[in-house]
Amino acid sequence: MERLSISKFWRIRKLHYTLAYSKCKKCGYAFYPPKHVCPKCGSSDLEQRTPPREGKLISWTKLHEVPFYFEDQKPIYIGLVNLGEVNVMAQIVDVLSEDELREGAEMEMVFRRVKQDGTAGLIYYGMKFRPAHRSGSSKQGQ
Amino acid sequence: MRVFITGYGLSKISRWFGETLEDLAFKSVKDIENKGGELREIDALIVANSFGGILQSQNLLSSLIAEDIGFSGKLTMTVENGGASGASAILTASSLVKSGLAKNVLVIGVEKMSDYIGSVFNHSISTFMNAEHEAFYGSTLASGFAILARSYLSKYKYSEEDLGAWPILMHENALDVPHAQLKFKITEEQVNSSDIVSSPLRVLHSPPVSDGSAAVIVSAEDSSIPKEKRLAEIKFGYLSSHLMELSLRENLEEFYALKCVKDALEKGSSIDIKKVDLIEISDDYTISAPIIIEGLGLSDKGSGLRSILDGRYRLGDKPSINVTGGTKSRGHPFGATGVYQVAEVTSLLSDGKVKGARVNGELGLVVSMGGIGTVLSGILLEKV
Repeated sequence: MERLSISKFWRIRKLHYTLAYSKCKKCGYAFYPPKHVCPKCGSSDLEQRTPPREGKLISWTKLHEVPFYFEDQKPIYIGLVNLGEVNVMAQIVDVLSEDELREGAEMEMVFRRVKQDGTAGLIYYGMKFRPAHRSGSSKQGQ
Repeated sequence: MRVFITGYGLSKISRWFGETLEDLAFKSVKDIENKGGELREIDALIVANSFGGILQSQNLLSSLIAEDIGFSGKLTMTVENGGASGASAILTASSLVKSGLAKNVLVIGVEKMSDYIGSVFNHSISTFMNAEHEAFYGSTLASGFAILARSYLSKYKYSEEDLGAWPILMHENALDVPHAQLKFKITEEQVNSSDIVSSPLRVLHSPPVSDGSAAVIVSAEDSSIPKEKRLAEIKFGYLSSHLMELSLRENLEEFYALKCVKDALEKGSSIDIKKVDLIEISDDYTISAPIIIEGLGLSDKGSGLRSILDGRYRLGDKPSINVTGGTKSRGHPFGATGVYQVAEVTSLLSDGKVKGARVNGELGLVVSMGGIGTVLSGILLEKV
């Protein structure tokens, strides 16, 4: 009988479901995505923290020329979002108008489908962001 | 041990649907001979290539090319370092020569990007981002540079239209370059009405999809290749990498890796970069040009784009930058680009064949980039 291997996404699922970041216990530097050692001081004494679900937009783009996994979603918005101690590169969704994408605009985390392996394969989920405090948007992005 | 470039070969960059990686590599090797280079004394081969494993399903490329060009049973290796693969291969060649392991190293840069549809190309250029984080959500080189561009334009109070000055200059510069891919003029209106790739960056801010191959011979001072074949001396070379993820950068509008390279070059060569006559930079997606110009100390932070708008860096200016069209117009066959750059500067300082006439000046600098400022390299060349 053929043995099926588990999806490689399995090992990173928790990171993608929480955007958990690392904080250096020695120098206090916080960073995402995680590394085995602190990019600032080189210490490997790190702790994992969960970021707040709301943040501020630093810069963004609307990508028309997407990789093949994203052909069915194009164009996609991608932004650099500040979540307090760390920044995260993420997809921005539910954009009604690009006026909502000013530098400093408030963003909230939402759980969304990222991509899928064809029509019968795995569906990958992760965190994206959408403009926050808009009438009709629920606080936790259900 | 002094190290010299004793030969170079170039093939025209285009979309070569009818040719394989080996076909392209063979063309640039043949061109070395056409230009008077000496291939008989080669004792090592380094191939610079970034996408062969992904796009042509071909690893161990240097072994394949070695046999294809009749170079059997000798030292070969393939170097992958994104858009800095070519520069990395030349630095490796220089180190082999200095170590005494080889006297004459043939470096071939080769890349074929046009075999597939756009979304596969887009996937390929997403491999320069962190695969399990940034690229997982769809980021590519284009979106990353676009995020930098928006940040740069906003921070330093430029308009999106201001970005157009650079591609217009690059297209002018490539008009008389035989191996360049895009040999036509473009206007401000064409730049600003071209399709958006990743806002605010448009098609005419972006490099074309390129196939091509370039080659150089890196030789030791005591090599048996005669002295009159020496075209330029590699005075110094260095390469640095720094944080791949934009989310970890303290400042989006500069490349820290370039600062490391600049410091090492100036210390190692005792040459002030401001004294360099001719510079060739990786101007990926246009926004890289002002960022690298500033990083080299040629203009103040935030004023790199202003200096381009003011008409600086043209042929005859000091320094002149990308007089063969840069990645924008010469073309950007990623793994091969650095070899093209070094071959071009070598030619401009010696025979001038890449632009019809040699350029006045003694010193040239090649700055290659992999990823979004993730890898930067500097190779300082001096006229022989």
